Amino acid sequence: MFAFFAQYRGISFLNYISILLAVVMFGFVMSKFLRAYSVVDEVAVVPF
Amino acid sequence: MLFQASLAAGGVALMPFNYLQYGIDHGKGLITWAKIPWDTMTGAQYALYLPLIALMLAFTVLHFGLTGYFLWRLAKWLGTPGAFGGFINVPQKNQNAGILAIVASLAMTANVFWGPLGFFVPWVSSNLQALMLPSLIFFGILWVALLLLEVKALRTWFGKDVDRTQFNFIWLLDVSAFALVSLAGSGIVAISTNTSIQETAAVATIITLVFGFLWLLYKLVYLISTHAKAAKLPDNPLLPAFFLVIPIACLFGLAAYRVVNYLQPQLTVDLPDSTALVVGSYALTIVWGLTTLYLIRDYFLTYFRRSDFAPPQWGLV
Repeated sequence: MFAFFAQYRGISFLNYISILLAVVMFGFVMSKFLRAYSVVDEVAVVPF
Repeated sequence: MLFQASLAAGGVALMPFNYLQYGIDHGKGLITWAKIPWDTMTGAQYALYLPLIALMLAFTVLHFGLTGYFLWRLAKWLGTPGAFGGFINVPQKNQNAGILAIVASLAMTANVFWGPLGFFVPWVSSNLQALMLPSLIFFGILWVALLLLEVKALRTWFGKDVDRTQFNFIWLLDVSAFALVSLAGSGIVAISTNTSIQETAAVATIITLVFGFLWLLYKLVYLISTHAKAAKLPDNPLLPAFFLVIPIACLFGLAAYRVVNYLQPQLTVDLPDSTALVVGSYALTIVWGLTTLYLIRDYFLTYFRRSDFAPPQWGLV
């Protein structure tokens, strides 16, 4: 199925964009996470 | 909810790997650095693939770094008397489901190890078959841990004084652990050439796959009906948890695809078509994703950018 999808540039392009979007979203959430983590050491309470 | 960060990093590392795996003609097996046809690639292909490889490297390093650090913190926490019992026995708002994020993240580690790490480290890719037995042992440990933690948590969720109407989609974290453990198990089934290893992994995977899928259906029906009865959406910090259904459905679909491909030639009865299973699960995720986007559009338009961190936000990744 993936090979089938990869033949189609439009879908392949969407896949590519979705990877970049995930990276941006990761950066966004990670920056919020690090801000929260630097204020309250959440690990001291729940480490997972 | 630290392990969700390593889980998300592992997921992002796998995305470019899968793109390269299915987008580049590289012969049999998993794609590696050495299998990429560098000499015949065009400038556009370089521009397309090099950023993906850089991202894959960054997120692979991040996944292993975060996993190591969180395991160290986890060991310290487990050494604190009463910490584990005090957490797992508190089912209010299904918060103790979060403990399964550890199993989910470690199951992701197995996938990152075989795929993205094997892409960069020739020793891993060339010794993949020799690594299948250690992988099976690692998978077995996760499988046992998953079932033990699940039974322990299950007892609390269905206790007498628990207000289950307060449960939310974070409750699906244990199902996502089932999905990721199933993916790791089905990975062993798909990669290994040793019949005994394949059989053992297949049996264990079918158990987590079937139980996890039925558990998902039950929880979805329950959560959708309680949310509908409440006639309002949960508080803003909880809203991204709706997206947890997406990776779960995809992972179950992919794991089922691999297991059915392994089982079908050995059976006389017809199993569901493996392609239909994976396409069906992806179709479900698209429908669910678009519906969720519509449902919580105000969250993105007015809340998310300036909001504080909340663990369900990892669900967006």
